[in-house]
Amino acid sequence: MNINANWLAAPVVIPLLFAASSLLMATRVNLRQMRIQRNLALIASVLNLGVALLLLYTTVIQDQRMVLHAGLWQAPFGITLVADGLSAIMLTLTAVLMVTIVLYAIGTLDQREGLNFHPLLLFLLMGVNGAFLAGDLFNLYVFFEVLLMASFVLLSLGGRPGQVNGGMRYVVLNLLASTVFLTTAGVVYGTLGTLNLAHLAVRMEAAPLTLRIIVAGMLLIAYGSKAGLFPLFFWLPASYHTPHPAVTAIFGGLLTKVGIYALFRIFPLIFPDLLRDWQPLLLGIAALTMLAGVFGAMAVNTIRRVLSFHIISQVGYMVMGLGLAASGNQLAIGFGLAAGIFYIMHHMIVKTALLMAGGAAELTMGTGQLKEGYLGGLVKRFPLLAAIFFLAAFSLAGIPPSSGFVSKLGLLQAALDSQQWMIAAVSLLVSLLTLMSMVRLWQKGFAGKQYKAVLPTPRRPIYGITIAPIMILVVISLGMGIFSDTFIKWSQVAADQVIDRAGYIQAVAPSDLIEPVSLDH
Amino acid sequence: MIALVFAILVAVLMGSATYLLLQRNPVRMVIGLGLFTHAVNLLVFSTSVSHRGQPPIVVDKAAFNGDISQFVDPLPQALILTAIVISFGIVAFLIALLHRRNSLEAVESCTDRADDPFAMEPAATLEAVEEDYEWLEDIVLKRELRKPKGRRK
Repeated sequence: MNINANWLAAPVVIPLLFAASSLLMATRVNLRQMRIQRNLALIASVLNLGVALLLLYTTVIQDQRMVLHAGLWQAPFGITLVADGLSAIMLTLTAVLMVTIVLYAIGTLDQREGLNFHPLLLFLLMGVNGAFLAGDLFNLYVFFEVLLMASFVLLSLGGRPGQVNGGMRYVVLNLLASTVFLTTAGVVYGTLGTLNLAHLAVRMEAAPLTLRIIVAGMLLIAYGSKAGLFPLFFWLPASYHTPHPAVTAIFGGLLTKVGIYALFRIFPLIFPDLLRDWQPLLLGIAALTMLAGVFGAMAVNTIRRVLSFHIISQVGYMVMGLGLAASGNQLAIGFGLAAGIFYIMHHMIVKTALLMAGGAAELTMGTGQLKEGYLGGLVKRFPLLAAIFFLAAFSLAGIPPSSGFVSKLGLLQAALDSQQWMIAAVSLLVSLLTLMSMVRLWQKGFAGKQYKAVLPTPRRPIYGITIAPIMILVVISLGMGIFSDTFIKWSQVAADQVIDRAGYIQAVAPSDLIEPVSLDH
Repeated sequence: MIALVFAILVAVLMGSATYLLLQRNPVRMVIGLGLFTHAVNLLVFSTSVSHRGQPPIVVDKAAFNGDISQFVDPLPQALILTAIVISFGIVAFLIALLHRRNSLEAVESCTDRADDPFAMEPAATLEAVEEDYEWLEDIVLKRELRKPKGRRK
């Protein structure tokens, strides 16, 4: 089966169309309008999932790359959309998360649903999908901004004091990172005369080392700050616990991973030599990110703050995969990268499930406070929610047979195989500390004595529709652990495609008609 | 020569933006961000105006025999057009956020914790927490949700 490349536009166009049409309903806040918006969001996310699975089938199972030259403008001149295994995997995971979050929002969302929550969610989806498909640096920037703009509004939707404060920090730090990104795009265009990734990969080889170091360093800063890498992660714990739990869940699952995706895409393609030379730097950043995240999680005291810090420590594992990508593995070429991709898959699913479950507990109890006297005894009150939280938490900590165990084992194997003892030791230590932190969450929040609810009566009962999406995600996580060979095979295909630079350049086929701008004008 | 002028301009703008961003005052911070985005726009713009050239418009493609290398590159201008729109939108949103922050009653407690990313929740008293969640409850909405299906229209 060979599908038309025009399908590549669908993940961007579908959310855009549905978001725009549901904005037309937003004349005034009433129940009927909310229902229409909700149904439109549900339809759009299911359609998007279908398209993502189609792309996944073509790129991963059939091992192909898909390229769309918009308006038939050849590569360096027009807008290019490219999908390979990594993009398709990310698109599919995003689509799965989006369906579950729309369901979860039906169960948990309050008045904020009337403030155009669903159109914003669809704009976020559009930005994320576009970033995964973008084939040039400037479009990557634009889609980053689309998703950031939607996330700014989602984060501060409601305008509580905490949200406004967290939102300010989030907006300022992300705008700075975007500006660094745009500066890099300007420097690249001014010196190499192109922005297309495949074309850049060709031209960067001949560029002087200083230029390569400047561009790679600035991109590392820009993406690292979006991904929440050490030492640029402070915006994340400052803001992620403030919005509605449904918003936190989708942010925790998606946003930092877009930065990680950009690193996975840019570094092996454009800077293969720097990826090798900077291995100690990348592994150092990875180790410090893991440690900072896990120690931060021990210092804070509400469910969502703890989970936000764990996002940071988990992002460290993914960068560890990238750092190990360049080393000569005996297991398979690019096994480190494949382990990193598998880790992303596991993390997106499990982290969203955890944030959803924690958020549901927080909403019913009226607080997420872990100190003595607030939460406690949730096992007896909501046994099903507690069971799901337990499974997700222990998947995050890496207990077999969950996906967390397999993904951590893969990274550890890759580290030992390339004889990086330090990072292997750090990853084991952080794994242990994560387990401790999860046990603390369990003991303080779910096990133990029941306290009187902080609020006189539970404000938000836990409906079946709140639990169902969390259950879906937990089942996917367990499935990824039990049938891990299939998923590892897929990540290996994706990793091979990422590392195969010649194949990417050939698929996009940039014509080299325009001379690079000379460096001496 | 003109490249040097642009370089100095960009440097001055970025320097002042950094200075403003490091201030505690949020209004100065917003102005700093505005300057910063303008500096970057200028940087992107400078990649196309290094020499005096012709507009890149060809009326009659068949009869054209001029020198393409004299054309000014139009792409950076398209790029900054996009970038200007984006940065304008974000700065406008930031100002709205700032306005909301100033109009909130609890300005004091906001500024106290503004620069501390590790700030804990203040010891939540029952009333405070309840008040925080009061807003989530909309009695009218709940009543409407409870109505039997047939009667809602």
